[in-house]
Amino acid sequence: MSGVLDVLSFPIAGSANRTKTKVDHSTSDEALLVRRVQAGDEMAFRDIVERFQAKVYSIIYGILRNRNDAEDIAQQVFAKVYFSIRNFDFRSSLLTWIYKITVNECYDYLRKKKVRKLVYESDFSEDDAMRMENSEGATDHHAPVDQRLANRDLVVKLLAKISEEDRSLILLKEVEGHSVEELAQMTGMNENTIKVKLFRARQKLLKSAQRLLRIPARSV
Amino acid sequence: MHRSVEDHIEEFLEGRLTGIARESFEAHVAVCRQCHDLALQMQSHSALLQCLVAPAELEPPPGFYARVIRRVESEARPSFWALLLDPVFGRRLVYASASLVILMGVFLLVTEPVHHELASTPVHALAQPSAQQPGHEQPATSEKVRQGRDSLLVTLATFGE
Repeated sequence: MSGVLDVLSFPIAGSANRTKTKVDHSTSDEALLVRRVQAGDEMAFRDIVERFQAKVYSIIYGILRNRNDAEDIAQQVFAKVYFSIRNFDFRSSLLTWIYKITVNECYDYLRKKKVRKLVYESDFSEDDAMRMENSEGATDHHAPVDQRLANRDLVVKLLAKISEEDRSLILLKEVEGHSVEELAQMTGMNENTIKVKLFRARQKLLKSAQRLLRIPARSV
Repeated sequence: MHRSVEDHIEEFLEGRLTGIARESFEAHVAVCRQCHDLALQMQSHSALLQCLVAPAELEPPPGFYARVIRRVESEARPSFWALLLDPVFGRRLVYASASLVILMGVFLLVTEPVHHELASTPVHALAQPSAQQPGHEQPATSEKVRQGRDSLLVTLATFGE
């Protein structure tokens, strides 16, 4: 086993402030906003749309990379929020709830349209390619664009193989960058439950990847 | 995967594994091939998932709220198909259809004549009494046809005169 630690590099420690206080989602200002919408206040709904529209739009664009689809799905997300908000039970934060709806809508869209390739010739301009080259977060900037698109395609397919709950958790953790403690606060679950769920979701992703890429299973 | 690694994999992936926990993690993955490989794969998946991060916080085009409200209004009007898909109405519709089918079946069974077999095979056709056979009574309809034919011949003959 010599040299294994050279391969398994330890990531740099995060610097986010982390609190361990349990959040009561039924008494926050968001909860008041939700109660106003539940009571039929259209202005409160407008507040919710304006507060979360950029976030929702970015999440969808992150998954689909198509502005037209992002707009259409974002509208659908808020329509769903409008019709389902009376069932919102304050167990999780409003953002977590909207996040789940958003991710589910994206995957519903992909399932319905049977979109195999996530890049649309008409939508993916040279400008987009340049923007991707310059601004993609923590991905390898030296990898060619088509390699990154293939990676995205693979990730989206892998995420389609796991449950809605696992998918949302993994995305909140890896894409939105929330810590286990933050996820516990956002979802109302305890930290150990979050850890176990994340671990199982990661195992499922690895198994799906092995099946998809036909890698012989060894350690999962 | 062994418990010591499973318990700390999230901290490891977040880059927050420090102190004794980190030493213990390192010591274990140095000797356990299975845990080492799994941690490595999870780390690479974690990096791969970063490709879903949006380039920046994007704003939808202006007028987004108005379009959302239009969508809400269009979805608020229940369509005919949505009505059919409604579980309560759909169940009632299924019961009503089933009852109708049963009633129609019963009606057909009651009103259908008993001797209605068709001469579908040569044996059946030969077994049936022929209209041309002597001694067999002509049906009333044949009589009417013959009378009609006679009156037509009379009409044609008088037309020539």
